[in-house]
Amino acid sequence: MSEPRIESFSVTRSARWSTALGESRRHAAWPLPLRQQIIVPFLLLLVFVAIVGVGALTYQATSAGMAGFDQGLVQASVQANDSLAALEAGRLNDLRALAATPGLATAVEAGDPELSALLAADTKPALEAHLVIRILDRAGKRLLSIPDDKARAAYGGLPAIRQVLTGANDGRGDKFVAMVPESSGPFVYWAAPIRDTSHRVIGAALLGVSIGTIATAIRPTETGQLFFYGPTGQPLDPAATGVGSLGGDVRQSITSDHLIRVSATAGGHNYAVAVTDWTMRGEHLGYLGVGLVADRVVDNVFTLRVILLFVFVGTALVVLLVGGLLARRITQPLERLVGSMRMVAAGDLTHRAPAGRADEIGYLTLSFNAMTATLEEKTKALETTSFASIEALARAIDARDPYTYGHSARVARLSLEIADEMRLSGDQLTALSRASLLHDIGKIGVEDRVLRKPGPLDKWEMEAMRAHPVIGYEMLKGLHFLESSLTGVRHHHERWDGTGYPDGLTSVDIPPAVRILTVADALDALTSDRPYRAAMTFSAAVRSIEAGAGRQFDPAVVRALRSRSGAIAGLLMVMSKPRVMPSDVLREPSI
Amino acid sequence: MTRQRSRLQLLGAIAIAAALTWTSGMLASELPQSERLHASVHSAHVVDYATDVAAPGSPFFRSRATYDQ
Repeated sequence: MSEPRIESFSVTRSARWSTALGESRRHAAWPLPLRQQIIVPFLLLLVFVAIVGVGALTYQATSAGMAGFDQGLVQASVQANDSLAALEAGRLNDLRALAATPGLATAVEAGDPELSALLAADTKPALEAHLVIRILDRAGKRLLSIPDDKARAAYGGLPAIRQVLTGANDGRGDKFVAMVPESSGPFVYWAAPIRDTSHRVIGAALLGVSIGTIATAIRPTETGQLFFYGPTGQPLDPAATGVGSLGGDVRQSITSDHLIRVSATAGGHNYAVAVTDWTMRGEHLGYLGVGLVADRVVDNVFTLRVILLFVFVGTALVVLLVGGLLARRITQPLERLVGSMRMVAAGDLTHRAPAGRADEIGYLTLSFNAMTATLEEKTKALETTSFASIEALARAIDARDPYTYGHSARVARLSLEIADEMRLSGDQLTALSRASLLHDIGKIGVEDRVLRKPGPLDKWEMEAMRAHPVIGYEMLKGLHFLESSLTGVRHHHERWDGTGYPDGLTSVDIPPAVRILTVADALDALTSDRPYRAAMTFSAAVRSIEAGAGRQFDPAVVRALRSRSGAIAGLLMVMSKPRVMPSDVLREPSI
Repeated sequence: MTRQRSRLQLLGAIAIAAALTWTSGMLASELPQSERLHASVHSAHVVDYATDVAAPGSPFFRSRATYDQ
């Protein structure tokens, strides 16, 4: 309340500063606090390194772990291929025995319904060995199946069977092998011709075994697994669910003396798989994979990944902690400096930023303080010069009228004396002094004939005279260093009871310094000669002011005037007021 | 409130980064691991598709004669 203009002024400057800061943040390319700007790049780099590093390490660890299986895989692969060759030879031998069954050719040629009886003895061993027997006629039509399943009716369309039925005999012999997709999965069939006594082919005997049965029969170890792939790399064993296909690059890399190690998952286990080509009778039937359980490798890699993750999170936290502390070491002095800048920007040119360390920010702080000191010095000089100019103008206005010559200077001195009694602060004293010196500057807008009129003023003249506080206020309101004094200029004719002008302020709504100015103004006016009356004695003037306490004047200010009346009377005498007799005043009763 | 939110954001960022790191390891372990090994693993045994003579040992053999017999 005591310094409304100063507060308003500060708020305006602060708002301006905040707006400028907001604008700069809005237009910043990266609207992050400096602390985050320091830490975030390191974190992003850490995340990048972590992602790439963990990926690369995991891949390498998996590769290295799988490589540990290579020797075992080669051995298992050799064993599996030997077993496969042995199985092939065994099944071929079974086929020869089957095709040589006495009476088979006659039964096939005649379409004898007793064919099944002829081979009845073969059913049991066939079932025990998971073998399938098919007897075909010359056209490839199925005559007999053991077991009697829902297999296709005709096999004559299959190239290998057709060759058997036509009696073909290439360099490898007259028996052929074919992989046939059946409803229960792919089967490998060995086919031999059935010939009559004149060696004419009258049918064919087929001995088949499923891929799954082969895989089980030649499995290298208890925990090992065989994976059969077709020529295009697709898995053949329907029981081996979840097994992926072989890519073209893998298939192309496989040669007779090169096998490829790949990883595969089946039955909830991870396998390291050695893949070779799968050839029977010179026919490329697909690829054979021999897998060894590699769960231990996967578990080790998993453990490694967990450790790496903890290392990453721990490192990230350490980076955050250390980075945060380092960033704070940098930003804290900056924040202090920014705080000082705000204070200076708000108008406190006497403020100095606290000295920091002997680094760039410390140097910046010293430079800022030096700049502020220079700014303060220049501003003071500018204000002094400006004020001296304005004061000269005010004195010139006083000098327009011989009756008011020196009025402003006296009012200023009297105001300060009363203010000192009322213990106003230093800033308020400065504002009061300036307001007192300039309070009548608005009279520059009042015509001389009104200002010097010896008699009473008419209504129009009174209005013109009453306009001078507002004129003075409008003249000075653009000068920031006088903002705190503007209330005195505008309101020095307000009255305690609210009947004053220009705004009709009442009692405490009138700033304290202005109330003092009003009393000092009245005292000097009463003790000065006027064209229409002689000057009052000091004691009469004080009595008159005391009579107006509570109506025109603040009683507290009047009491202060009374308390300092001796000193004030002395001042007026010094300032050429011969009618002032301090002893008169001192004898007056207190208010 | 802002400080708490900032900490939550930081923890969220670390959680996301950890998830990315974990995913990176998971993808790397799932990558096709293929290595070329040099070894001749095919059986040296040659299976004869020409002969009609069945050797003893087959369950279908018993006492049958071959065509040649």
